[in-house]
Amino acid sequence: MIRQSPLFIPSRRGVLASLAAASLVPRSAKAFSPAQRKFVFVLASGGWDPTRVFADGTASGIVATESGAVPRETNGLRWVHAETRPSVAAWFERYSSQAAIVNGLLVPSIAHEQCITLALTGTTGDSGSDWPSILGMAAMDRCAAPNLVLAGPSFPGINLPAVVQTGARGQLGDLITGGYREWGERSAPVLSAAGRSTLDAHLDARAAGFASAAGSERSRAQAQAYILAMQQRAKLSSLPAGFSFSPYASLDDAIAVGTEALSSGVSRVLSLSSPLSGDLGWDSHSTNDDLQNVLFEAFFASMLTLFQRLESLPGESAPTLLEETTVLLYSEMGRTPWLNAGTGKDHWPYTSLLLAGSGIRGGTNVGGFDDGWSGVPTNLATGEEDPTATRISCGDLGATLLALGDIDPGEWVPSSTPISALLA
Amino acid sequence: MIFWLACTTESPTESVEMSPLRLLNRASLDLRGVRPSEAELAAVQADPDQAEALIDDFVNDERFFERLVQLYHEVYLTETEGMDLRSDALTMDDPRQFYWEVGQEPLRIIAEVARQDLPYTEIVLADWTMATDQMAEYFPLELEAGTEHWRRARYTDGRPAAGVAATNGLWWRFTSTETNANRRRANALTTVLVCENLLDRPIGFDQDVNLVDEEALRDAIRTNPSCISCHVSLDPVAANLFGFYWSNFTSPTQGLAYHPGRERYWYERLDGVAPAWFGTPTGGLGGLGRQVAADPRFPDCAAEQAFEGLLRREVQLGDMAEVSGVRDEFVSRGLTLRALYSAVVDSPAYRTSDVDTELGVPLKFMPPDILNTSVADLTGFVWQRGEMPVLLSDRYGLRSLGGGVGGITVTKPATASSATTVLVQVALADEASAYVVSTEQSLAVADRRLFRETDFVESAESAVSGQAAALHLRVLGEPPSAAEEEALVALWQELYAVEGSVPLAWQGVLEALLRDPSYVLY
Repeated sequence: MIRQSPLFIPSRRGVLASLAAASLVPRSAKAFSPAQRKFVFVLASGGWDPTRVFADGTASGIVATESGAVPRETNGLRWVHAETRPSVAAWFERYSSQAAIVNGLLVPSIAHEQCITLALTGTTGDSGSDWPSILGMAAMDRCAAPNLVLAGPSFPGINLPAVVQTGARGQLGDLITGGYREWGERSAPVLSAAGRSTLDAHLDARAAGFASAAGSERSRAQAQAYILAMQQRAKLSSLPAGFSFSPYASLDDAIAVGTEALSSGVSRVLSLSSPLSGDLGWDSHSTNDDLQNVLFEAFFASMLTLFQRLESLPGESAPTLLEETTVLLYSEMGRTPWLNAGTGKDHWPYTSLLLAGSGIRGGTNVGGFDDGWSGVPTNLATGEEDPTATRISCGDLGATLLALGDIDPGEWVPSSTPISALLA
Repeated sequence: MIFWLACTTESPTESVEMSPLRLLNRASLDLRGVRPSEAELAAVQADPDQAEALIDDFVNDERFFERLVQLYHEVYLTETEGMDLRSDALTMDDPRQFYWEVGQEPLRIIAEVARQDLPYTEIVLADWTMATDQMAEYFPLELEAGTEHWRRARYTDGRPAAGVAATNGLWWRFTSTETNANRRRANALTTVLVCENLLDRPIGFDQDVNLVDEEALRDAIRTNPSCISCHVSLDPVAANLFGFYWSNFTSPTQGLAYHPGRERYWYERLDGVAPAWFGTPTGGLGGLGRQVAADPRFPDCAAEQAFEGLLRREVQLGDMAEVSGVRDEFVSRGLTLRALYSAVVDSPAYRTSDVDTELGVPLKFMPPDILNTSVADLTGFVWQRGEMPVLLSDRYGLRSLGGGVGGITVTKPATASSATTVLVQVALADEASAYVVSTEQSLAVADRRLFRETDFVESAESAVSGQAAALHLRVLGEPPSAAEEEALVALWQELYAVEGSVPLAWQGVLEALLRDPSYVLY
């Protein structure tokens, strides 16, 4: 059953997918290649506490554990259950067979901005590009909004053309439909569609002339970026029937908009965050247990919505969107194993993440935490602790995601290795 | 004008300076946010040598000071509605608009220092701030009388004189927590004042440090090399800021006023690390301002920031000679911001024409604040949504979509076009051209900004070409070539054929010019 937000209007494709899911129509056999794989990135902004869901700390002796929390294994995947988080339990019951957990990822900083940059690019420098933008750029030829950023940070670097932000109040939709004309008190007439086509043709010619007249490589690059942007804008202006960039006020609303964009081929990558505002909502320096409990419960309730939608919407190269989409749930840092004086937990450079969906070996736990709650050296092929190996790095995460997206990781993170233990 | 020969002879590729008319356009947009006026364009067309004198005077224009607010927002990241605060202390309809305004406080100090032509050191020494009537309702401020929206003011809560470092605006944007103990704020200060972002250093988490032992961790901050590299600088700076320490860091209630009684909290919260600035004791926030002003990195950083702000790219190793020249000019001319920005505009990298050089920037992408002011200046159209400028706001408008810096999740400006920047340009061009055509039809010719050579009735080619050429000159800042004029006239005729309306044909032509690649790439 799809949990429909007020924004969700089933499209014809959506109806067909529902029928397919109910086996009322035969599924078509579609060829699938990693180059067509889609991605959803969901950031828990502020730093989550991995011991509440992903890593059992009861045996460590130093982790301030939560009363009532117990380790659990479902479909081979080990996680932490608490009665106060029924949505977490529901998610793992339903999707753990398609999910893998990475514990002990090293994010070598304890400052939010730097950790987010590291998690998404593998570096703190400004010259990097984030994984969503790299993956999006590879789909520029077919997607109008290759990396659709509905919420959260974006560090596109040279892959800027792939990034399309929307604005939470539906600003992108207004730009595309002309809804911006209602922001003020405009009474002046509007050019007709034919007039607008005339204008666009004139500007296409101007842009081409501008580029050919450029006297330097830098000018040519600027002009080409402008032409490419015009082409992308044209794609955005002719979106599939029934699709729109609606406003969204909640994560569930954003999921509705974003998954429709993936399903209809508008986007390859969807970037989301909790909370939507970009605030550091998970930064539980005080009352850690209360806050993280509520946040995890709400977060996984939304993830149920996300995965149910991925299951119910049709894919472009697989019967359902879930079968062609990899989902990454991550937070830029972990939290100290102990409680501070305010019963909060402070920043910690080792964290956990969850990958699920297309290309992921379900029921897999990779890495772990040692007695001091540092990440353990891990053999990336087996996922097991290995004293001869190194700790799992953000670069390894990036290499894994790029490999899943049919992009050579060596081009972007040459010193990192895909975590093959995660791959189906 | 600085003599740059020493620099240019060392460049690997010979730099050729752009034409006076192009330079006039670029400098006017960068320093004032508008195209050159008709009189300025005419003067340089008649005598190209006049460009230098005109450009020299741009830093005395009132619009330069407003432009500085936007340039320094890209550094300080404070003009944002996205501050992570609850609004329980504020009885107003929309606290987010208030946050956006409060965030301008440090930026307005910088603009005022430039307006009064004071030494740049004043930004860390001033015992005054800039405020609005609404800020004075909530903050303990004595606001000078006047009718301007932003006016000088003095805090009455006992905070030391430290310019931008003593503003609520900076510390509402950069909050802290009990355990963070102002370190985040300290890093914000070192970043904006001396270009030292200590957090850019990856931390080598040493297996020898027992991260779960709080005592060992505290000890490591002072003894372990991988910890010391940041904390030895960060913690003493943080110790200066405890007058801004809030007991609840998510609520601005605590942040309305300074708390002199908390100044010595550093003793407990930072394990006795006393206030200092990179090794020199400060005795507190006022002393911090004086130490920053005396720090040789302070003018270095100012030169670097101005260079990056106007060239729209980060400083590279090869730029050091030019940045050094800018810095020397800045220092020798009394550390005034007018001298600083004039020096950047005089630098070869800024003026390089459209040829391949190592460091030149022949075309720059126009940031949304310049798009905003330049189109408003040309057409009279001010794009607002409610009370908020559409191109300076993410929550209410299109700042990040237009390539600007939102300040929270978007912290670097776009340097090239994207689909959303083009969409923003299209929407603004549509709105502005519709507004000005609609408005000017009912105005006497002498009162019009753009359409002085049409009666909005005549459709003969001879009547169209003069107006088209005039529009091209005014909007793009240069006269059209014969082919360009011909193309504009052809566009007008096609639009007239499609729309059957002279005003709509002009509306379309103007929209085309405002969307032209040479409008947004300059």
